[in-house]
Amino acid sequence: MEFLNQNSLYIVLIITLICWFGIFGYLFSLDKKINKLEEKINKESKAVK
Amino acid sequence: MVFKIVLGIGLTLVIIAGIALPMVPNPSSFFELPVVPGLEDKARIIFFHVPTAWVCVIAFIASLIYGIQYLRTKEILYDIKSVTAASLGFLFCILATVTGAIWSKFTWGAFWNWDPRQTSIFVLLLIYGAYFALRSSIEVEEKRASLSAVYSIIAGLTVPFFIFIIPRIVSSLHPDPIINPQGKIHMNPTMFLIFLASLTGFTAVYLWMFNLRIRFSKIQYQQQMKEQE
Repeated sequence: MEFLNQNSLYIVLIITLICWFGIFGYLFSLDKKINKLEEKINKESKAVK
Repeated sequence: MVFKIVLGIGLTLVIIAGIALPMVPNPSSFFELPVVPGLEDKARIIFFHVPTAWVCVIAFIASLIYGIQYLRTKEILYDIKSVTAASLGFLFCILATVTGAIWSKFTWGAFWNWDPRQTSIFVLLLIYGAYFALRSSIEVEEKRASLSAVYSIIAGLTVPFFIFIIPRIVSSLHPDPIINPQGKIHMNPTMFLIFLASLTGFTAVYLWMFNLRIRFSKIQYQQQMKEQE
């Protein structure tokens, strides 16, 4: 805490990283959902063939 | 594709400029930022924290508009758009709250002070938390869409009140906002340019995330309809 108080630029870095993690987390979870949906669609199309 | 490359480069430049440009007492060149008394480097949060709050407002207003469109047309696509906008707004609202709380710890001495801005964003989180609780409690699709559209309209109407009005009625420790009672921009031109670029960049990121999520939700919905047939 003392270090951050004296070097406040690192607080800005932490804040930027939090924004990035929030956006990344959302995209990562969306990516997983898309993968699952793709698998499901592929399985169904194979079953139809 | 070009849009995404421009966005990638643009936001990278915003992050570099926002963090790396030196802060000096009397800026003499365009590449210097002024020292903000009492805040020093912590003033740079404006390039990252304010855009998250801005996107949160845009997303909640978008949710309201799509809610109205759903009630007018009864097309399920608008319900999908409304809930997607609300969920993205909620994400950015959490980001604004967390980043603000960290800044507050090092500026005001505590993570949470019940400052008017902190209180109003907390109430917004509760309002939209209830929106998702409402949606998950109704199984019938049309009823869920109609009720949540009405809720999103009422919730959306409270957003300008909580973000723009309440913090200006009650005295707050929060730094002078851009849209202030005097109607003046109290900001150095370089800072203002980076700030505008950041607002634009974050808005574009929101639109991109929104677009991706809508494309996914549409396919998911079509798949569900096929299964029901």
